[in-house]
Amino acid sequence: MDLLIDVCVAIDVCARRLPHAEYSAMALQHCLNQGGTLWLYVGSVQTLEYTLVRELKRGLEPDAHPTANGRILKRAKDVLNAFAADKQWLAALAGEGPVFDRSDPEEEQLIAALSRFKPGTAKLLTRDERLCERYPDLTMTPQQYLEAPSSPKGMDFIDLKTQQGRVRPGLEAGIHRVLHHGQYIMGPEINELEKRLAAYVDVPHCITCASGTDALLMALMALDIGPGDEVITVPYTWISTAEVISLLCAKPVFVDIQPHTYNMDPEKLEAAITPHTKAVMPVGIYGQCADMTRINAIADQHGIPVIEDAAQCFGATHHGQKACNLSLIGCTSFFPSKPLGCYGDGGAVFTPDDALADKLRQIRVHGQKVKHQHPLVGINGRLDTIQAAVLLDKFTLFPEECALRADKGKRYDALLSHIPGIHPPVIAPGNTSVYAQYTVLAENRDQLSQKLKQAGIPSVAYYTAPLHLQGAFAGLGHQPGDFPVSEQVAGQCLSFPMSPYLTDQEQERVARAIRESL
Amino acid sequence: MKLEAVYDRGRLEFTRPVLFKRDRVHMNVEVPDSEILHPPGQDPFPQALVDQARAMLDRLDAIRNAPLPPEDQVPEWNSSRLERMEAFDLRARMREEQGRPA
Repeated sequence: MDLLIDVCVAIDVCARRLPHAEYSAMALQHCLNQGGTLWLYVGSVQTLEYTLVRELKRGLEPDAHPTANGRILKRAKDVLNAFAADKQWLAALAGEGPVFDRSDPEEEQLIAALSRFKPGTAKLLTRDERLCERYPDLTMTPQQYLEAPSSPKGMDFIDLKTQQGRVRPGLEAGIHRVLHHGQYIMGPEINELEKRLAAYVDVPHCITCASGTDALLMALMALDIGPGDEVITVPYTWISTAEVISLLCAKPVFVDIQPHTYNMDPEKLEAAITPHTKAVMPVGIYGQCADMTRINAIADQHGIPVIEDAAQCFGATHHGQKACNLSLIGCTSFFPSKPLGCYGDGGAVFTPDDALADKLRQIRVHGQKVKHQHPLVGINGRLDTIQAAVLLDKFTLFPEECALRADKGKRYDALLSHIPGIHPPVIAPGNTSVYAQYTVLAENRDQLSQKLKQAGIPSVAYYTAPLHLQGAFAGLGHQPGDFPVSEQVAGQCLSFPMSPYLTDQEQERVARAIRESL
Repeated sequence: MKLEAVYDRGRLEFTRPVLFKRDRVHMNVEVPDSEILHPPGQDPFPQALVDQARAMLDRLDAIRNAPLPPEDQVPEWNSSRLERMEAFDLRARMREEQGRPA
């Protein structure tokens, strides 16, 4: 549970106000120990400052030095800065402002602010008995909080909350900027984001779009792929990869994957190429690029362009080059759970080719080159400006988060590599992974998943039915056994909790639960 | 001097009016053992939590008790600050009169 800290409790702690200071401090610490977040209300800033000054002045002689007030103010500011350092600021929203007709606008604002939280997940920590009597379901005294049964935070499969806590002030400012300038479609944030992402990937052009699926679709459309054409991809992936091929009435041609990286097996690529092959679309599954060097080399021999589906591996590298900079076109997704995720759908296409970039920009806006002129058939594929604002802020953490993800992956490897029946993923030489997921092969997957669930550890089996066995692609006429490695991985894959903010203790808890489950 | 007082939800009230020289005075209070749920130092909370809370308070104490800043770092205390201080002082006094914490 999160706690919104009332001014009186904050002052208890900041001024060590007796006899309340110790209980108030224990309640705050207990909340942090339980994985909760402590919030200070932005609207309380002045009250905090002046109430603390008042408390600090209590010990002062009436004839103190003339600069004493200023000095106490400085001291109060220092104490409040230190106190606020491990707390989140809860913004004051316009809807919480017009409460002048209430008997106590200050408390009304605090109570109104609580309504933003999911019911039961946050309370106001206060010693104000009047407030507690009026709002018994929304308030708690420090003593009540300490005496309430503990409910430690459960483990998230993907922890987005910690990241949000780090960037929240910038996120809120960015979203509010968009609300004020009102350019909800193709606002200035889009151009800014495209510049930053292109520089990060080190590719001349970044074209943002409405989703990772749209990125793939736009890439195929830019290459004029259509009826009668074949596009080679893998059967072990999210359905978008093959779906966009079928949407353009082209034929997905599957190539099996490697058993340890779960990515396209280049050894099997050449045999799938026909005179109708118009593109190869390898996927960097779970955070690691496919063997793009070999795939590019084979495709080049046949003059076939390669579209990299880097929806899950944005930020990863292959022989020192970033994902999305490994072929003619790189596509990625900003789905919320992706290593770089927005708060909705989003995606981007990258290319070094000027003409292709121009075409992709037209396709993104209904094939429009200039206003009301549509030389091409396109889609409605623009990224929302608000999502670009979110991404701009989250991107400030991205390089650090990629490094943290790699550390978590290595730590999982060390913890799990000796457990019989568990086969950790293999990162191919020359690759780095951003571990969009940490996915192992487990010989007794379903039983393990069930036992982990009982132990409070979330786990997910992704893509349990490979695409060649999906009804959507029944027309291709595939049978079980056609792509044995994909089928084996689909039957054994299991992903464990993963995020840059996973703690050592959480990883050890996962490993312990796995050992005990087998 | 021994005085009779009543404890009422965090506040001590003397049974007879007493005029003090200052607003804030330290004193020792004799409390009947039978009225205490948890004697000080014997809280029913894990020692680790108590230690963490005390460390938090000590960190803030250290900032509060640090040497006074030099004159040039002292924020200006002008009439508008004074007015605001008086307003918040009034807020605090009103709350205290209502039996509410400031």
